[in-house]
Amino acid sequence: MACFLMPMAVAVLISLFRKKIPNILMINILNLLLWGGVFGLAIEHIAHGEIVPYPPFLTAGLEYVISEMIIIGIPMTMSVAGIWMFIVLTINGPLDKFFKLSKSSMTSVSSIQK
Amino acid sequence: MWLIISWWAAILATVAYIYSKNPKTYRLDWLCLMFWGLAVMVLVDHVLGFIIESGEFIEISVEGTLIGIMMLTPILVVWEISALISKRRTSSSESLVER
Repeated sequence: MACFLMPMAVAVLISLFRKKIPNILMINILNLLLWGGVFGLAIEHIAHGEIVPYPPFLTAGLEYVISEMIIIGIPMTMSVAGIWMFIVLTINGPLDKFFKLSKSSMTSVSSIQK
Repeated sequence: MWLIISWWAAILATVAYIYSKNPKTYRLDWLCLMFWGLAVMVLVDHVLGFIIESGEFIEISVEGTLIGIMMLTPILVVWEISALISKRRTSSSESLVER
């Protein structure tokens, strides 16, 4: 029903505070991963009639919304965060000696400011 | 069906990024990351939905196909806007260098 609200909340927080996060964490990557999923899932929920453009915006009851946010939203967010962590560790961290991705031009992500 | 579509979109965007001469100019890195974020989230949604509710893991239907294509639309819109802005900035910086 509203499983994407959890990753959306995290994405909003990251977008607001990304300048305070050290560059070595490459937070742009996590931001883009989360927002991509949020945009797509929002459309899917609108297509299924689970989200409407008028209050209360969610057609399901609060108990369903909260349970879905916990049961599906948290694992979703953690999966994406796990991928981000793997990327950061592969580029900047101890896994770089195995994958050597830091030497690849594929590792830097265009900043939002550029 | 949107699971298949989201994963194909992510794979195709990654292939385009790898084989593009200048992927940063067209923000293909943004497109890849957004599609992969969508693909992972849809996969988690499908897996947990299958575990909790059973039923078919992948449902092949016209409705699912249309929803899958619709899900790509906002990502493509965001990517196009960012690519246009990036291209304009690249062009303006090149013209400044030429002067």
